[in-house]
Amino acid sequence: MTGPAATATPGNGVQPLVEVRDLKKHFPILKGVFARPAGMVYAVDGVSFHIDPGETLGLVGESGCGKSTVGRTLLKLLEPTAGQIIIRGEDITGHDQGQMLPYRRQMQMIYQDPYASLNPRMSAGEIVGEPFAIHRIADGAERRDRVAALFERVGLRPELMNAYPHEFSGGQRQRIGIARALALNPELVVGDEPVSALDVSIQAQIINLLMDLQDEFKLSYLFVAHDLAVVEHLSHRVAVMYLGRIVELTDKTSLFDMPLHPYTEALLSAVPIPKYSARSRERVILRGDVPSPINPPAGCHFHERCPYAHARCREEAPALREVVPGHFAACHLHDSGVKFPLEKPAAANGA
Amino acid sequence: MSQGVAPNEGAAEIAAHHGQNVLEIIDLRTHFFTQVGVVRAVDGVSYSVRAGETLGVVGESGCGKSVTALSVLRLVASPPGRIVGGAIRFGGSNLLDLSESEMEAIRGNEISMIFQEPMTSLNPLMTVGHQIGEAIALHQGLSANDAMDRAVEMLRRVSIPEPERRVHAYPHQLSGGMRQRVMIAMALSCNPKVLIADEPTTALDVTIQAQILELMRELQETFGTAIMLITHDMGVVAENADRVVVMYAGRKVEEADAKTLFEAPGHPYTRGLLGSIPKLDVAARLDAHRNRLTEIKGMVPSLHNLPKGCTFAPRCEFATGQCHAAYPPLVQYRPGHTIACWHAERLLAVPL
Repeated sequence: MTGPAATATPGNGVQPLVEVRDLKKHFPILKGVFARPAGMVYAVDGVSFHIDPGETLGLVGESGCGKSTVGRTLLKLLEPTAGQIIIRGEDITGHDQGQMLPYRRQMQMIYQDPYASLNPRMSAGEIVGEPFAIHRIADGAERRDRVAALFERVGLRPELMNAYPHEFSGGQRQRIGIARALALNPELVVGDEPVSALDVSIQAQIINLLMDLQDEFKLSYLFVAHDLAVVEHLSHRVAVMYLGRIVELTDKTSLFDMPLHPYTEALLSAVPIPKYSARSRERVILRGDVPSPINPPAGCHFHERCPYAHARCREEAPALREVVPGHFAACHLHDSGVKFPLEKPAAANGA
Repeated sequence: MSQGVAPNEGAAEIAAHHGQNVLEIIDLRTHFFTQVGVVRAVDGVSYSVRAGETLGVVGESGCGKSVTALSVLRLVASPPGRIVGGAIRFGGSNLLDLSESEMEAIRGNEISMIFQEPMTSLNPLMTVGHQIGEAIALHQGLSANDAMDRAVEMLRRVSIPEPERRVHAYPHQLSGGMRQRVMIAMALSCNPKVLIADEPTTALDVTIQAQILELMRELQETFGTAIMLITHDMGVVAENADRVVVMYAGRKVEEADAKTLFEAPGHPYTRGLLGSIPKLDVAARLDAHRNRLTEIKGMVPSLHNLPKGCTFAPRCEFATGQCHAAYPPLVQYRPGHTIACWHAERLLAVPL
């Protein structure tokens, strides 16, 4: 059987920058004075993917699906519960803080909330220059010049280096966060909802900036967001997550043209499209709420809301399989080959 | 128990008057008097909501769309806010002239409102049934028991499963989508003529957003309620509104029916806004190089220090000397299509 690891092995022979194999991150729920574990949140429950150099992998899903935890665990800001993280062929899963230091330079993060992720007591110049100080790279005038160059590159006037975060608008703060992430010439940038707190006209500026910087510095992005339209715009390939697992992964055109997972199909149809002609399109409206990752449904996590669910879905979790070359989906519907458009199982129902 | 929430007995009447204005906002000015100066949050805004329609009000943060709505219900915090001019016509009177107790008879009864974050607008110490029943008992003079029955019926109307049980639930026991359904149940419990929905789905996941928007469309058909849908999401507007008002820096810059607004907008801001949103169907078609989005350069001006002339001019690629000198008047260029731009005629000739 083609296991989930298949997604980690790209077919084009290029060594991927990042490979993640069967990554798991579980958080214990602690209760009482002695903080005894009373349960487990299965935030990330067996996720595999790779990112090529210069590529953007979008990671999309609704709140609580584990997409942000994947980003943080990949950078080892959280210790993985199980699985492997491989950077340029080297397994860094067990690396301690000291061993991680050279990797930290290559892997940076941009956060959602530019208000919460900048220290209010540091000037913008100090914030952007801090990575140089931590890694003891440039000093004095040289550091100032490099910070000024970074300011210009992200569209901020270098005179603003002495201003403090509260003096900037939301969009400008996000530019500061981007400048800080770029300071050490990283290879991988994880963006955790980097544009979702911004107004649309500012959002477009930041999306364009992120794309320009990628072309200029050959960056790889893991772009984590809930907005499918933004994710598709920025990404080359997209992974859709639902309750801790990747349910579909493929290039963005195939994802849009031929969604092979019922959840992706519903998600695509739920996103409002800013066009008048979009009114007449058919919608799949899902019933119910996203279940909790504390006590996920047995079998396929999606079966309770799935219009196509049959008996097997309630018992057996489907593996992420390559249904069409390069197009992975975790759904029992495709057991006997590609089914698109998805069709409801006939009499087999409820058997 | 089957008090039956009869579709508004006025529904037929509303249908007969479909298209007539139920709420008219006329030259509204709501300013905030702060230490840094006067913030002109709403500065001469006029628009009307017609019976049975959904009017979309769009704009970015700080454009005044929510303050306009709060002004209609006279809920602007004072100080620092004050309605300094204009009129709000509803049911034959000017809401700005009414006493506080007269307003109370209108709020939640004839005009009700739902907010973005249902958790902050529901009382965490009261069961949802109690909260829905409170409004019904207050406005319709029902007994507590009858009000509770009516609350169960309303919860059923908004498709909450097991309403007899959920009526005794506290807000924290419900999911975000359920809470928003409770808010809608509460808002519609007195058959309002106008429902003001301020970013009703912004805090929700997209699959839940789709459920709530569908629910609002269904309820509008049943009850004939006019909806003022305030949002920053052009997609939500495109798929739900009959007419659209676009606001920028405290003023209305464009108004049109939804088809015209999305297919042939005239104001450079509206055009820029539509160009700056990634569209799912287009995004999927982009090659590996990906197109750049149209940017609106710069940022929204601060409301206590507005530029002279057209407030959008500093960000506008079409701006000329005239734009920097004087604010353009709102002119109706086509039936029902109003634009505040000196160059609207020229822009209308250029397809989007």
